[in-house]
Amino acid sequence: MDKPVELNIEQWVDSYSDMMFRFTVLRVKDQDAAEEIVQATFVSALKSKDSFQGRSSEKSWLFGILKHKIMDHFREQKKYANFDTGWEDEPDPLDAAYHANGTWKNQPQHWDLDPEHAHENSQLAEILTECLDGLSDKFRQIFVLKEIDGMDSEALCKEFDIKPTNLWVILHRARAQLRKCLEVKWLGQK
Amino acid sequence: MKTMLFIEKLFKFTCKDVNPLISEALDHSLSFGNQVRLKIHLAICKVCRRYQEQIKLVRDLCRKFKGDPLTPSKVFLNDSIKDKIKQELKNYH
Repeated sequence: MDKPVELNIEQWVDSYSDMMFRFTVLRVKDQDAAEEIVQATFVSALKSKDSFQGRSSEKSWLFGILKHKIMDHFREQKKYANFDTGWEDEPDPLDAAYHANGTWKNQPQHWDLDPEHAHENSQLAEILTECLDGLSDKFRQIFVLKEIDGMDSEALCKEFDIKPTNLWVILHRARAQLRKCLEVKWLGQK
Repeated sequence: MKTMLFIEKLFKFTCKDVNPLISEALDHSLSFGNQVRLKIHLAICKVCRRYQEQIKLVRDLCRKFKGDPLTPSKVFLNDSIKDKIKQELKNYH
C-alpha cells in the first residue's frame, strides 16, 4: 500500500517542483526562502494527502498549498522587517517624471505593439518578469497578488494592514514604474 | 462666477494630476468630479491617452500571463534540493 504513494510523491517533486519554485521566486524573490517554501509545501501536502480527494488536479491542489505558504512568508517578513513604513514619507519617485507645470518630462513613447497579441510575445513576458523583479518587496507583493493572482482589494488591505487609499497609491506607483521599465527595455531591445 | 471657477478647475488638471486617476479608475469608481476631470483631460491630451493605454496593457499582460509564462524561465530548482525534499518527505512518510 505504501509504495504507490511514495512513488507519487517523488513524481510530484519531479513534475512540479521547478514550476513551483519559479512561481515562488517571482513572488518572494529570495531564492533560499523560495526553496524552503517549496519544501514546506511538499511536506504539508504529504501530511494532508488524505484531504486530497481528486476533486481538483494535483497541480492546482499543490499550488493552493503553495499560495498559502507564500502568504505565511509575507506575514513573517512583515513581523521582522521594516516592511510597513518608509514609503509614504518618501517623496513620490514619479515627481521627477513631470515638469513643474505638471506636464510630462519624458513622454510615454509609442511601443509599436499590437495589444491584442502582446501576450503571445515571449520576449515581452521575459521583460515584464524582469521589471516585476525590480519593484520593491512591498510593491511587488501587493501588485502580484492583485493583478496576477486576482486577490480582491478588501482582502489585500486587511492582509497588509493598509487603507484603500494606500493601496491605490501603491498600485499607481507600481504600474507607473512597470510601464516605464517595460518601455525602456522593450524599446531598447528593438 | 462660481460656475466659471468650477469649469476653470476642470480644465486646469495637469498630466501629473490625472495619472494617479488613470490608475485608480482601474481599482474603484472615481468620484463624479474626478470622472469628469479625467475625461476632459484625456480628450485633449494625447500623451496621457497613450499612458492610459499602456497602463491597461500592463494589466492585461499580467492577467493573461497569469500562469507559467510569467515566471523567470532560466530559474530551476537545484537537483540537490529536489533530492533533499524527497529525503525529507520519506521521513514524514
